[in-house]
Amino acid sequence: MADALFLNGAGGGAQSGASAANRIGERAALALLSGAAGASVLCVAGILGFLAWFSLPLVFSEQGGPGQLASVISWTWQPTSGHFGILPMATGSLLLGASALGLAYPLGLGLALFVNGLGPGWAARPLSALVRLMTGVPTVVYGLASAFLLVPLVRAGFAGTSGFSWLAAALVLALLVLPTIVLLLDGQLRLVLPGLGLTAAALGLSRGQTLVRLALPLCGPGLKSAAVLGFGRAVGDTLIPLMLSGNAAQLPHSPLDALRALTAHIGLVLATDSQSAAYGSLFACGLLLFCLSLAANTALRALRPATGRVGVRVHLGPGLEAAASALAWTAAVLVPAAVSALLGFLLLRGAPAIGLALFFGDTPPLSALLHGAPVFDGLWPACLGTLWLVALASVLAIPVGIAGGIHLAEFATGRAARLAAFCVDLLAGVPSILMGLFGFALILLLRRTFWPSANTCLLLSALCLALLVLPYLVSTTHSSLTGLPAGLRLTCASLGLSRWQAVRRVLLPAARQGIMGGVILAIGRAAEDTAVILLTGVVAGAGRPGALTDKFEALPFTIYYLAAEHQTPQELDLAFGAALTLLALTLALFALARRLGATAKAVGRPAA
Amino acid sequence: MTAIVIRDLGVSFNGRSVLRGLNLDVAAGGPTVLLGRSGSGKTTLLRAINRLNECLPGCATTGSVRLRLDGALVEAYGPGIRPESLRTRVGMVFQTPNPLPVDIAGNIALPLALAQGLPKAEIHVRVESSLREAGLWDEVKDRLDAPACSLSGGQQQRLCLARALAARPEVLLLDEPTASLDYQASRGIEDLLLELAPRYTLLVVSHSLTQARRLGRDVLVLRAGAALEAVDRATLADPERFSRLMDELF
Repeated sequence: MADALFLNGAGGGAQSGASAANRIGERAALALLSGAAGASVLCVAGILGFLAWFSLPLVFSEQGGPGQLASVISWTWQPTSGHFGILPMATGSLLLGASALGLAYPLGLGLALFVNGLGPGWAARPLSALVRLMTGVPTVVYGLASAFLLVPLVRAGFAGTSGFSWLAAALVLALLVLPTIVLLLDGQLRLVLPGLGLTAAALGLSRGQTLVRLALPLCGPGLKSAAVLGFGRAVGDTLIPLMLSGNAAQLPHSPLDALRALTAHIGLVLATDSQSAAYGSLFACGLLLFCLSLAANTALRALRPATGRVGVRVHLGPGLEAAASALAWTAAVLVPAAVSALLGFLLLRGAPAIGLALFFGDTPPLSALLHGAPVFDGLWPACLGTLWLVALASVLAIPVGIAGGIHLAEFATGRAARLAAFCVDLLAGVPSILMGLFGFALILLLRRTFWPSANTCLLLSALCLALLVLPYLVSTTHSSLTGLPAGLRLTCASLGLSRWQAVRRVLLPAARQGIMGGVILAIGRAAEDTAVILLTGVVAGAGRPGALTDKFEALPFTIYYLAAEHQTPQELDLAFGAALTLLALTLALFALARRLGATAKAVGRPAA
Repeated sequence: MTAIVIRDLGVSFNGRSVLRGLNLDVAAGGPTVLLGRSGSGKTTLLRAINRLNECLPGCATTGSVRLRLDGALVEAYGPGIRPESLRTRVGMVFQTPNPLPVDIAGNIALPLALAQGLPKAEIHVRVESSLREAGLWDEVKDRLDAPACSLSGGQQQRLCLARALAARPEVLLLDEPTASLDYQASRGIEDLLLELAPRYTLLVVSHSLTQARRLGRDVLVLRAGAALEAVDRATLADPERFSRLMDELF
């Protein structure tokens, strides 16, 4: 102890010199941090800019006359005969989103009520765990399981239909957005119930009455936020409509008809056909999706609850408790049944395929691992591709995301801070297919300017995935830091630490766990996304990636591709094995993130 | 006449025992004041009487709590007793004012409508009578539809008292009802409690000896979850013995 004091004293002579160097270092650090926060603004501006720029030909043709706008805003999509109408897809997206929300919202509300006291106490914990597990299921996995379980059921139930329909897509989308709704409502209820529960109980109110008459009305804005988030997620999803809705560019007349969503449309057209005349309409679709997420974001901001408790109006009519109870029990039976049917089917089909042959095919594993021997009928190249993709995206996104989060939480003030926060929120709500479209547009731009041979590749995919997960990193870092006790900052200041010193030495170490949780959540998200890579360079049968500018394979795309294009039953088994592998990977990552205390705060993102 | 008879009461949370082997007789009327250090289990004892502990996770209660309702002693934990209806007969006022997030009248009307299913006309009558009983009517009669949280702390606490009275309980449990109020507001509540004592059985938890001296007809000290001892009036009256008790307790 005495030695330490002495050393500190001896260091005092050099203090002024050291602190000058410190101050320069501190300024550099702050500049870097604000740069990182600015990156999110740039990303949003970039996406919007590209979408707008490439949509311009719609309004002005190259000859200066009116553009193709009229042909885009029409009900006919026949690219071979020059009809590029996107109205069927826009309607399809809205129908699908609204119907999925209509299914998911009551069930989500029921589940949230069930785990907060309408159901028996012993059932709350496993149900909450199930809902959290659902957040970790990749959409492509839902898509695969549903395409081979639900779709045949629909086909069998309604003779004369293919089963690939609005109905099938809406049912699975409902399952996909359900956790978003449940977690948000559950969080809200958990906020209001502790202050209310004992009071209401002491007045003789039952748990059901407390929940339905008092707690729910108190969650008012939260109830609407859950609907907006759920709708945004349903409209933003690509893979489920792509795999299940049948994708006919038409207006459906019944839930058994096929329809095509905007997101799936972008994916389909860009992945299959590259007529430049169709691009204009694609960017119009992109712009429309962007505007939808902008509208959702604005609505969410408006719904943010005012500070201070406000009075609520309580409905005293009879029967509400019974209705809520019925809803809660229905949800508590239906949702676990649906999830276990899908995942159980996946396990049943995928488990027999699990083994070394699944990954390496006929190639000896050791020679594939050590000598890079090519693997033709195994998942190894896809695993390697996913690994590379996730590693590259992490290297790009993690430093920027964490630095941006630190800046927003500790240093940003005023208008710039609000703009950056808005852009992070907006970016979090942008459908992932738009990140892919952004990457695709970047390549188009490069080709037209100084790099005519530019093509979609591993690096581009990683860059777009980095964009996708950036808001997760920013917001978990931000919330981990702002969640620290306020006294900690005051203590640091009272001890004479500068703000940067306080952040680096005290606050960041204290928030470490939450930040790590966010990192893992981001990794999981990057590993499962399909929509982004679909447009930016993933192909089937590329083999192991050799360079950053190569095409590549990835697990989620392999699942999607094999589900649609499998030639033999063995290839389909490969798809189920891949789905099980990916599911195990993402669930493990999500469980780890949860252990580290990252809550499902960033549930608002529309998935692949 | 005894209004509450507690025998061999034990309460534990997640296996950690808070009260064990506790016996207590509370006389009708009162106020009976329960003193004790923080953490001695006063609040838990109070919540054992209206079975509110059951709303907290991991709670286990043993022993017997009998209450005089409609003239007869009834076992609160008996098989035929619904906790919800028991709580309408045993009112409670909390340490900090806890109005429901509705308007002033709604705070009284809502529990009457939901827990007791009373008709509108009856509720209307009780809103006014209970607010008068709590001495709040003149202050709020022109803004019954204002949010309850717009009232001052003392007014909110009187509203909570009115809300408890509106259910026409036979027993009122008050958990440090003046702890979050200033001197003036505290005196107001204490005077009110003395007025109510002839009509209700009042059991008041307090950590203030001064308040106990002012308020208590019977004063009891709860020591570390088990032993209860009565403090006689002579001790409360004698400054020296009073200050010794104060040193010992706090």
